Amino acid sequence: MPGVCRELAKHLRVYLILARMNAMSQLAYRTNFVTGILMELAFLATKLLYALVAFRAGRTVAGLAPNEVLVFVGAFITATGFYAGLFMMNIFQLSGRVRDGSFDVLLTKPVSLQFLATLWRSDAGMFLVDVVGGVVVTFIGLARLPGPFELWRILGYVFLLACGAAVGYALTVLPQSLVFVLGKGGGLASFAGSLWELNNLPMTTYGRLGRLLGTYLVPIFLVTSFPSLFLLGRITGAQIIWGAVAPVAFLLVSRLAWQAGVRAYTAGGGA
Amino acid sequence: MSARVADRAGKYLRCFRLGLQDALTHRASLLLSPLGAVAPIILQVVLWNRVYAAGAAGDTLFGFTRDEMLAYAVVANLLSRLVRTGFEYELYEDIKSGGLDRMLVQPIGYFGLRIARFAGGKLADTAVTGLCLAGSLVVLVSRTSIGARLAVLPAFALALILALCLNFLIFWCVGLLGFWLTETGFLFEALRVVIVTASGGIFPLSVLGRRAEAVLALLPFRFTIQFPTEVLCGRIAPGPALAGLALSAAWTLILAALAGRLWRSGLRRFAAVGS
Repeated sequence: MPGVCRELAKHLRVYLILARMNAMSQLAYRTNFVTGILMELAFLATKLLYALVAFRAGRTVAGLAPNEVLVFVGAFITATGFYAGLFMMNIFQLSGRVRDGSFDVLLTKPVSLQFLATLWRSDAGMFLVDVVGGVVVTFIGLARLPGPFELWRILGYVFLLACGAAVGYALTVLPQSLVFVLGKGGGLASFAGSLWELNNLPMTTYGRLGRLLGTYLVPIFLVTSFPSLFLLGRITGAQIIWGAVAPVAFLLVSRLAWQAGVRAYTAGGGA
Repeated sequence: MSARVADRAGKYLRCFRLGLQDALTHRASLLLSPLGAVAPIILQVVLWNRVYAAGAAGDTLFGFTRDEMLAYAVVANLLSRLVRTGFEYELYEDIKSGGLDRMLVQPIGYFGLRIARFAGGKLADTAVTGLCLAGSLVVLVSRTSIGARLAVLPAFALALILALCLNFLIFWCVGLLGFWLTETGFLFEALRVVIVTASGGIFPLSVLGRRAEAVLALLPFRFTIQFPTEVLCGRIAPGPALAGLALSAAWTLILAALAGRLWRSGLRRFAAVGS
């Protein structure tokens, strides 16, 4: 156990160093920084379009009032901060690294290969735009709903959102393990990215089968629907337990898939 | 004379084949690419089913009945994948790295080379996405009130070809920004998101409100997704469809002229730094 804690502390230190390096290099290339923020703002606007439909149609969506839909969209924007700011760039770079052989360099480092390959790069600008934007949108939705909101609800929301981010990471890494076999991951990354988009709507809008699949088989609804349902007081006890257990289970599965994928890696690019 | 024409055409045909070969090299990725449209389609079908279910049967929203909106969501999402480019990053890289100077001295036009490779790559894409589109239409016709109108197919084919040309030219102009900007970062991606939204690739433009729709109707973007989608779904009568095709062709010519002007003006600034 002390060994595990030491390893975790070491990886946390390395991650903080990498995050600082990434932030410094982004500030050195200001165009990248500014255009990254512009890109996230454009994506943020497209997510808000789903709430706009509810508002402009003036109808409930699966029993949810437009302001409640706005709370879900806000949670989705916040969670996207983790996806776009912390995972996405690494995932898009992975197939390039595998094809040109530069993945070999990562194999020689004295830290976890999965950690380096999937978390090396981060973008503070994108992360902050989405997290701040998401919190603001959630707050606007909440403020327009009747009734006060207790602190414990907000704390539970933050906890389930963190669990959702961990599930999101696992679900992003899982299909990418196939990159070592297929060689090119454009289609896979696009597929994983599009699955992420399913969070744009509350899980209650999907049919029974969709809800079951999205909760237990590919638990994409844990990313934003569970935290929002908790915040709105519509979650069940069983869902809270699953929301806390699923991240551990799916991180383990993604770890095993990654290790199997790496065993198939042949350094074909000849770095 | 005819030998020279054949020689010229041969060069571009070879580039077309290269584009096709490149797409076919990564067959798994090619076959998986329409999967990227699956989630947005599910999302929108769920959304619209729920929104229309909350109203009276047979009512219209944003000018669409429920079945028309479902058909729009499916077709527009597949079309937005089909017309999508990606060469603008290579174009920018060629300008930035100075690699463009090598291309300029070769006996082949750079614009022709790029469009031939794009067309080659899109042929493979069109085959895969076309099958998905045909399958989706069969499902839509059998499960909704959308009728099968084979008569719209020639107009749709023409609208699709014009949409591909138009989108190529729009992103060609975007890529040419490389002559003026030393760094673009994520600018291209930001522009892509805005352009797809303005093209009706996410929702029909009427969802954005009358004022936004009126402004966007003055721009060429809607001809890349919304117009071909509405032609295929039979929402446009033959007369307005013809007028739309003519307008789409006119925008293609305008953008081709703009692209030529930007190219010439950019080349005057090009210093081949980095080559």
